[in-house]
Amino acid sequence: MSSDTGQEVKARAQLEFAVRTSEGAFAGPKRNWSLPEGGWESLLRLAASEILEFMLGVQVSELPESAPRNTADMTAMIGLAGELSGVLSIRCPAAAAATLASKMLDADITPTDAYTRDALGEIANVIAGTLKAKVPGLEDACLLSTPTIVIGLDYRLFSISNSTSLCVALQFERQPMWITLDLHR
Amino acid sequence: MGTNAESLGETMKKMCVLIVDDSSVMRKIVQRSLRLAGLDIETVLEADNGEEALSVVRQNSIDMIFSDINMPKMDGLEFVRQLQGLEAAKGIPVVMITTEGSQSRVVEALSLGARGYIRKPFTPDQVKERIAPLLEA
Repeated sequence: MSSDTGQEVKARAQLEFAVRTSEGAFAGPKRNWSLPEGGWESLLRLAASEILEFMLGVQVSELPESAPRNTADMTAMIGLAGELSGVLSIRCPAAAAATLASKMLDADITPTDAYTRDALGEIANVIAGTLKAKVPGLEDACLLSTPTIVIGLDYRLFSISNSTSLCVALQFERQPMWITLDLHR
Repeated sequence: MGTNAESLGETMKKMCVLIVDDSSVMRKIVQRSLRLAGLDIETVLEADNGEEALSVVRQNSIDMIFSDINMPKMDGLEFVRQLQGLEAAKGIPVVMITTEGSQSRVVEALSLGARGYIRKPFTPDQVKERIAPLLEA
């Protein structure tokens, strides 16, 4: 069926986030916080690695660019509101999320188990909190939403216009994970 | 002298704790951390949010409460606020467990009656350190 190829292309396109690291885009006139040297991408990578290693004891490394993105069928999103607003999202295959849940709970958790969704949401939540904590002055100026989980590949995520996004691609135990930060200017 | 797992267990026997968090995973992790910290727990009650937790407190005899701040329906701050008006909740120590490092929210929780807070992610040792003074009180 011709729609198979079309859907595949569409899914790839839908999950493709622009990778931009223009730090100046995030600077607001009234902000009371200051971005440490290295910028958002470096902070995001650091926060994610720290949490995955601390909470789950897994070693995190860079994901090769050639890794296919069309397997990431589970997404956890955390909203940021205040002086910094936007969305932090984590996408990975449900099997990878189940691995994380299994490590968190020290039990065998399957990809379809509710614990898998909760675990990915919790990891997104803690990474967002850790990211915030790494920016002096931001902790009291930005609040986090509760996590939202999306299952499946066939969706598109829209931010309001005037937003900028960056994505870090990581892997643990040969399982991929993409962490994206979409920030409103 | 440092408090070890055994001494925590000896401080208060067979506790009933209430864990309030919208994440089922986090409720399990808190439960496991409390046991690893040496708390002698007989019963663990769980609630998804502050509203549900208030109902659990009204119907049970609880020794200690661990609550998230950021939850749907009723957040941890409102839960602690309403808890203070409950006769059944008098004297129950509440420990906030949160991702939010926001000092203003932590200070608000403490001013509303929370007795301590633990920041996620945490280790059982950190949990032990935070709850030991509450058990000794």
